[in-house]
Amino acid sequence: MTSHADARYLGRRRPLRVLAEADMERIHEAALDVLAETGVMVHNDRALDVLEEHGCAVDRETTVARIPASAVEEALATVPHGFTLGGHDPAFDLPIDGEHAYLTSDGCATMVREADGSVRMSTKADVYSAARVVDGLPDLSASSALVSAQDKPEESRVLHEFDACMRGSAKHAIVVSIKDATEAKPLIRMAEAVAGGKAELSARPTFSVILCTVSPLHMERFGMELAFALGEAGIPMMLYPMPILGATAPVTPAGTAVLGAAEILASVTAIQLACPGAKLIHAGGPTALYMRTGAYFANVPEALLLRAAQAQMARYWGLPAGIGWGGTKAKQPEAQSAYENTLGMVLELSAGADFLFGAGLLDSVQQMSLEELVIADEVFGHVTRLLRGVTVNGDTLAVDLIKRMGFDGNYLFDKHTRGYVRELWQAHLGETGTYESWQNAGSPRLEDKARSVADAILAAPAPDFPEDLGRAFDDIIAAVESGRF
Amino acid sequence: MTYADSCYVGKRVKLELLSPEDVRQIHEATLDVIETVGVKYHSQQALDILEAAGATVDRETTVAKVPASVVEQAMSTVPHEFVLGARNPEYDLPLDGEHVYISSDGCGVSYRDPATGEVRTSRKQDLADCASVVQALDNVSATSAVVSAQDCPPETRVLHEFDACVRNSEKHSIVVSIKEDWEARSLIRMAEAMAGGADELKRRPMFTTIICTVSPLHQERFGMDLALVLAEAGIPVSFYPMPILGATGPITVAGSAVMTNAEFVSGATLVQLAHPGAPVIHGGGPTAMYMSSGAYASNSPEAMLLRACQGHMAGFYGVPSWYGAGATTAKEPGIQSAYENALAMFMAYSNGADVTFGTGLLDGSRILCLENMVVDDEILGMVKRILRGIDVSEETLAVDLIKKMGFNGNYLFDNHTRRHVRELWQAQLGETGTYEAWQSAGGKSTTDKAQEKVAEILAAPAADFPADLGAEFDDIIAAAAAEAAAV
Repeated sequence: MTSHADARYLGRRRPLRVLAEADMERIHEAALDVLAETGVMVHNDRALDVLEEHGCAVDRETTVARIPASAVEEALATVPHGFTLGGHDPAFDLPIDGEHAYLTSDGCATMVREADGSVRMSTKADVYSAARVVDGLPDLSASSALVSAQDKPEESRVLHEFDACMRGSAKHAIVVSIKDATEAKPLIRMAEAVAGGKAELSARPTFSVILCTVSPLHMERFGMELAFALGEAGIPMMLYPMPILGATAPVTPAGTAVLGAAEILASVTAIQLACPGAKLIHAGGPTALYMRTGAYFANVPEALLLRAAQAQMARYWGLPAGIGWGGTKAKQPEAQSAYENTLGMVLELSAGADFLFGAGLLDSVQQMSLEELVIADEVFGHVTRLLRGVTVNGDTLAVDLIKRMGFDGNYLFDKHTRGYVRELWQAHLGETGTYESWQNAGSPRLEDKARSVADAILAAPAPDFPEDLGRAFDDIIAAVESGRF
Repeated sequence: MTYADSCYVGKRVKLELLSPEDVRQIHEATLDVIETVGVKYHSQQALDILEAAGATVDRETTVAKVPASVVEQAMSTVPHEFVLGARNPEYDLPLDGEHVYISSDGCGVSYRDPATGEVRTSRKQDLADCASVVQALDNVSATSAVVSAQDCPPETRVLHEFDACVRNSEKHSIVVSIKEDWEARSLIRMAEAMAGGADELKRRPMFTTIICTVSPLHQERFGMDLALVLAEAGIPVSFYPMPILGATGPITVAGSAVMTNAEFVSGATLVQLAHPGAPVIHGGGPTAMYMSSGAYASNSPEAMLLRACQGHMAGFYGVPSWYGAGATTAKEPGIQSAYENALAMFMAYSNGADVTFGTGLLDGSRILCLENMVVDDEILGMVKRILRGIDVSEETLAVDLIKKMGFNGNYLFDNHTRRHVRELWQAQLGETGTYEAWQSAGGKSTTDKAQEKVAEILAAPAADFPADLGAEFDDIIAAAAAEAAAV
């Protein structure tokens, strides 16, 4: 049987290049120039110590480190080019090797959009529902706290969110809302309980963590202690610059690419020098300022091009790429969310992204929509079929068949057709039949069909979750909440 | 700045779906098929020309087997660039590999009422409305007989369709439903009246004709005689294979790429032998099956991949290319039409297409839905910006600015931002504000807003159309009707 990952194998993609080789070199050189001359603000003594040891000029008062090219190169030499994201169930292990493509759910929204269009604050139950839907959709490969568990205490919220993801889904989880190293410890303990120990967790990390840099040129907001704790436990880190073109970064995409590259390279350098071999992923979610409304926009073409550029730069440095995706400005599941997210998906994946984070949100990542998860699943299937491309060989060129069929050929019943017909992509959600058959089915709208798919997943029995693991989770969370951890 | 400048994408962001070796293999297989199996031309006139050039012809079956050397010689005279003329020269469309366009689609049979969703048989007024919408949309560059004028007599229908298109729009027009060479003569007369004479028409052809080939390996029954008349007048001809993968062509994309390429090349060869240098366009609207319903769809990924291959073959021959995109299988405007058409456009253009044909139809090119054109217009705006890629220069890299801003930079009020902020793409249709702003504006969907835009366009005065030209059109159509009645 094909594993989850095998079914998402693309092979070597024929990459789309939004940056020429020479452009990538120029961006790399410009980022090194900025790091050496301006530096980055590090906000952490241990990171400054490490950087200083490796030849960086450090100002303890401002916490600025000026990083020479030699330190960056030293760090890039120890970066792992690929690794596996562990599934909660090993059947959902995700090799990150440049030849597979995956989709995950998004994170950090605070509102939930119901089927009737009403909107309310999110709770832990919503995190669980989203994880269940992710679990039930074939082309979603990892869960996440799509929304915040706002009914849980702040000090244990990230643990509750991870708890909901693990109970709801057998897949890998992306942790999005962790803030400091003290939260990391119980989280790692929970994940060790899932994986079966420290070494197992390091070999098959059950979760990855998003670490946002702060533009311009600040390292992870909550300090590098968190990064070091995760690095030592073998947890992959998605380094996530979020520059806003024209506000916290240059308005020109090339300039923002330089700023983003500097932030990525600074994080890579600090983390690799402290924890050589730490698993790092080039992530990122640039947005552009929208002049007319003053809003920030993740899905304008300039931001999408930058995300494609990030996927290319990731390959340039030998880093896996898990790029931010899906931040439509649409307010409901509809045409706008479909075309914006679809263009981003095909662009980012064809530029070489290993996975896209994330599906399921509307209104600039503020509102959860289960319909959007289902729609993303359908579009991902279509796009990855496109990216598998066209096989050209003697059998697929079918010259002998064309000659034999001549002018009256009915290809339908030929062996050649039978041999390949099952390779044709199948739509699950989109209409493919006649107008009449659609009318006879009650003229369903696609968003309603998507909701039905989500509802059916939620109505089915929940995936198995071992009782002893549940107790272990409860104990860890209770300990944290009572200050005993 | 002319209209075409707004469609300029330069060398564009390209998806190299096929390697040069793949392209060479498809080309060689194409030559092999044309030389050994041949193509059914359905025209004695075509066979005369091909035989004189060295092809082996069978007068009974109308099959010509054309040696590779003849094909290659003929293909060496295809023009690599030309201009599609518009009634208003402002809208002339250079086909040069550095511009991208979409036109309205063709040959639908029904119209969907935006208010009720009701579907009825199409008529001439629907074409007129569609042409008005095309005229008003920045990213839609040419009109077409998007649906059939079924309230007009069959013998002059194509003339009525053209009449409706050019009266209501100043843009180039695509003729899709023409069958007979005598229809072409009347149409050419109308176009000459617009262009200002036969020579002017050659320089700036007012319309393009799509001639569908019939897979496997047939030219259209009346296609070759028609192509020869059009080529002589300098009207661009797009040979447009529409195979169904696994039914009328090989199920493998590469196999159908060979077959469709053979259909294009065999048509282009004939035209070039008769009229060296006549404008031809590599076209195609293949479909592939969805196993779940057994229906054929042009937006299935395999059909998109085939059109991408065709784009690379057009690039190999250096001819302009023109592929189906926008023929969503969706039954109403919304999510499915948006994601399918967005992918179809992106795949076509990023693999080299100059034009996609086209926007405006639902249900696999059957039902006219004007508001969906407004949505596609917005999508193409995004796609064009993506195709333009990232400009990398000292000015755009902005290293000095980054250093100057340091760690607390507010880029918003800097000169560099002011200099470049107007280059950012602007949504015309999509939501860009807050949830509250959207709610207080009535919580409209994109489709609702597109409907409003259509209503606004149709309420505005139509494009100017010179009265004397109108009178001339009426005379030509009346004469054609009389001629048809006399036969």
